[in-house]
Amino acid sequence: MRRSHREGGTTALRWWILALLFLAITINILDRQVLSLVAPGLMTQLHITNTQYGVILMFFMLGMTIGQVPVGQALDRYGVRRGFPGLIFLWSIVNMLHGAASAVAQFCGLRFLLGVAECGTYSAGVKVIGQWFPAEERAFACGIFNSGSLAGAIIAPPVIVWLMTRFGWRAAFVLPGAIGLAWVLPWLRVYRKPPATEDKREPEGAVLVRDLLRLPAVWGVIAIRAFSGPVTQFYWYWLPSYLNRARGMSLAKIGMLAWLPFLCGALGNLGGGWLSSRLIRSGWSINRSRKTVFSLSVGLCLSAVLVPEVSSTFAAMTLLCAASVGINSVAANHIGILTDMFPESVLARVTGLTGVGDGVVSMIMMLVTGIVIDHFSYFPIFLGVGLFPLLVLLSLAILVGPVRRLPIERFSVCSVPPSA
Amino acid sequence: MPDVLERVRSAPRPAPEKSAGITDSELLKLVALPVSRLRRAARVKFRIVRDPPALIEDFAQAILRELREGHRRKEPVRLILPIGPVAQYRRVVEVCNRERISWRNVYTFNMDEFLDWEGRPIPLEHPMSFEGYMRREVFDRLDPDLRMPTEHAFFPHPFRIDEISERIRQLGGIDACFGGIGYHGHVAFNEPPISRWHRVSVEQLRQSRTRVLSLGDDSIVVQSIQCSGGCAAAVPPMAVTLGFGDILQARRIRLYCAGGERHRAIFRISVAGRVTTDYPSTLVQGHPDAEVVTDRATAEPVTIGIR
Repeated sequence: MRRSHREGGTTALRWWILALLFLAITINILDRQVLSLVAPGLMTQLHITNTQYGVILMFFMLGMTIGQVPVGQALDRYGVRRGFPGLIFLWSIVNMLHGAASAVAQFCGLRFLLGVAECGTYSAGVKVIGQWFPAEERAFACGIFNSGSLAGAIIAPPVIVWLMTRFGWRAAFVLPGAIGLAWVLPWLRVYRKPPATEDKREPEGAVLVRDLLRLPAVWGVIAIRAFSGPVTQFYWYWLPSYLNRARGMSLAKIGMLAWLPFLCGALGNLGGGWLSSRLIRSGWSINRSRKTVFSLSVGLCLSAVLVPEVSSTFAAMTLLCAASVGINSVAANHIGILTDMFPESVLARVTGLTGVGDGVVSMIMMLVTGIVIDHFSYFPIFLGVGLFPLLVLLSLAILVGPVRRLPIERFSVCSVPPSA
Repeated sequence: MPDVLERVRSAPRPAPEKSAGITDSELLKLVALPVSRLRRAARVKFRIVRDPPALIEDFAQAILRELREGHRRKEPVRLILPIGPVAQYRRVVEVCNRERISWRNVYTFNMDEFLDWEGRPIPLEHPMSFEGYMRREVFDRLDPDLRMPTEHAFFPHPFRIDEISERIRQLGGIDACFGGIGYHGHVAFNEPPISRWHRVSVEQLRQSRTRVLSLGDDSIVVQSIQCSGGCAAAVPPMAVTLGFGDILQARRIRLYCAGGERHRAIFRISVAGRVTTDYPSTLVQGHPDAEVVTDRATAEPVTIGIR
């Protein structure tokens, strides 16, 4: 008995499914945050250098980047009912196995697998929402789904630190993994094949990636993400070690405070998007409002430069929060200009390209960060983290130019014959 | 030979570590803080006991707690032990002999040892030999049936440099690391690695392994005042020390700092100063279970003036 989502029977069901999706992304972020929170203790106990930690992080990003396409294909092939819990099962097991690891190579391998398994969460979630929610509810549903990552980032520090201080770092990997395994059961019970949807698939291949890469604006949006994404990654993965090792903050205090920059980041994400839409509504041009918000956000990112200079914890946390607001606002507006500039037919591919740019630069940055911290200090890193976003403005000015809808359709008709 | 010059010029060399140390103004503010405000600023737990004898008693009781706990759990007790302070050992031995606490399942790792000017071990009979002191004054004073097997006591050795780290790893890590804090913040002989030629980053010092080093002038002067009536020539000029890599992986770290007035500054820097290689004891900040114990006289704020 299959009914449309507009009918009564499945109404409640789709909210249950959304709740499970929310939990899935919360668990996803919780799982990937375990390593960075246990890193200070783990590195001391296992004599892991920052350089080696950087390599471990790089393998996670490598997994994320390489996994995108095959995992997406697998999800399409096996469907989300079995495919999605399969991924969560895999990453939960991999996460729990971290607790048994003791060599750098083992962590690299596990991190790679975790990256592969976790990279599909977002696309699977969006796919489920697309199948279960009517168009007018999708933005709201996506918002709830997205805020799961915020919930994950906020609960991770206190929960993981509590687990670690109470039962040791190995246990800190096991419990979040177990939660992931527990998630699988309600999903298999609740999730059914979606009602028939009226989704029309976009004809694919109308514009080739090669053609897109001929546009400077495409390189511009790739550069913007490649210069801002790695900064976000730095805060995700290096902040707890910095607070512990360079600022002497106890783990308990990290548990109490480390979620603040992430909360501010979430506010920056919402605030940055809100501010530019507000400016646009008040009559500013899209170009002017986006660029104003980009400039303000990058200005906030600069505060990271001062972090190693200040001695009080309060001042350092304030600066970190400001920088986090800035970089997340950059991210929100990056998504904003993508939708401003590119028609839906190429949006996914352009977003994919920016993701590749982010992945490649982040991998390099993780390696460099470890080496610099080992041989010098955190100072050059924060200098970089603060100044790197300036390149966002440079890319915006030189490569992107005025923010406006690009005539891609026209361009595609001229240069590429229709695939059909 | 322009290309040779070019090669020398372009050879990678570590840049000076910017913003690593504590600035003078920060330092002067820190050493003058009242104790109540120091507590708020502290990044590592500290406890103030009445006076040096109370501190020694506290130290002895902490070691005894480890020994009793090991007995209770029937597990080996793995300790890193210092020379300086030393008075606690007499008390520990006395209690162990009285209460029949056996050391059979105890493993001790001494933090450091003096070496002669050629970097070779000094004889056990040398008045400054740490190993000699431990064997004579601690291990041999235990009743024979309570003593630990000789091979359970480890001392860093310049010719078997990685032996201790390897043994610690095989034994499953250290339960507790006890130590003192030197005048310039050295823990074991991890002195501030200052050289005109080489720079060591915080992270390199944090990961440092057992190593041989020439002692800094300040260490030699302080040692000579404590141990040889100010005769610096009597202090062996080199040492071998455990690195921070082994010290920081101990489950508990307890540092005792009670030099009175001359330790006031380093006590405060250790608990609330910025993490820096200039004062290596700051590296214990952020350890999940570290504590610095001091006495009232040492915890007082510094007063600067001629007296």
